[in-house]
Amino acid sequence: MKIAIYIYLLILLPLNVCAHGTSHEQISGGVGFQFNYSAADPIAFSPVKIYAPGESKKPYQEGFTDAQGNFVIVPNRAGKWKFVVDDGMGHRAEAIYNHQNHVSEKQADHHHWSNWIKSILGLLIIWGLAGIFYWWRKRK
Amino acid sequence: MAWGHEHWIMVDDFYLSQNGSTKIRVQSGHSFPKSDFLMSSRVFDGAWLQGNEKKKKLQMKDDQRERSAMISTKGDGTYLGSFAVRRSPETSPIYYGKTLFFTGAEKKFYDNKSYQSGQQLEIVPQNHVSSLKIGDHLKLQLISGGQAVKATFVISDPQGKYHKIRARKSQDFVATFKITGEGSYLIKSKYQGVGATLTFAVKKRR
Repeated sequence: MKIAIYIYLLILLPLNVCAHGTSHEQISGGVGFQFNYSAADPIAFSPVKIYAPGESKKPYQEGFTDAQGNFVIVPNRAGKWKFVVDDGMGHRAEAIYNHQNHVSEKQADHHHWSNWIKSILGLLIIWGLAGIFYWWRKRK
Repeated sequence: MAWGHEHWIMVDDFYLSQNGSTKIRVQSGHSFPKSDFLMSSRVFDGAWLQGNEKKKKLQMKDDQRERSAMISTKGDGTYLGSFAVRRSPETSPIYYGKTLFFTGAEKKFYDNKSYQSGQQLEIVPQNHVSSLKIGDHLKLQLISGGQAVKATFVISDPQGKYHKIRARKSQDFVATFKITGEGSYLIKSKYQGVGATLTFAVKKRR
């Protein structure tokens, strides 16, 4: 009975631990634009909508320019990405970024396993160890 | 000369009878006095009214192309409506507008010694607006943080013509403009990336 409880805890514990896990890593390969008024003043702190290639209605991403009028994205596929800035004061700017030679996340990084894969792998290891333990006990 | 997107505040009637009411409007566009679009509520920082009463914030209604509110005045004198535009998270506005209008008996208009709203940047007439006639000279200063500064003013007159005048240090930062007609005027200026507008009207005397 005790062993069953231990196994049960061993199975559930990794799931609980990874439920609120976060991590971060530095990325590169972002692309963006600086938006300015005609007098070279930046279009600062203004809403930006990003439309993915082939999409014109639903934005892929939304955000705000920074104090210098900059906005950067990390495209996830090749094609023409549209940036639309509207300052709410009558000025609207559009820019197109043609993203070519896209390297997908899968191709770029083989070593990053998701938490789900890690959890399943952990469970399989525990299961295997438990099997070895019972087999060894039965032999005795 | 191109007239870019500007924002202004004005009233339907610049010369009201005593205790009169009028509609005050915050408008945007490039064809004063016609408003072309509604400024986003994300950047509209509020509108205020000051005059014989304590300065108060106006509750404005959003329409398709403007914001507006009905206002009532008390007594004779000069009234001043103002608004500001601010882009969050910036703490200071990037645009200021104001309008001057008058209520009651004309002789009382002179009681108000100042046309200043206290905004960080504002266009301030240096002579009495309410007594202006065609051919008179309107003197203007651009005040930033309480100090007159070098400025260029662009004026849209009642005939829809544009005039450019300058306030130079050698002229004590005062620009002079010869009144061209009766009706409403829009004056705009800019200083260190911040914009300011003023509207007023030359009273119809015919």
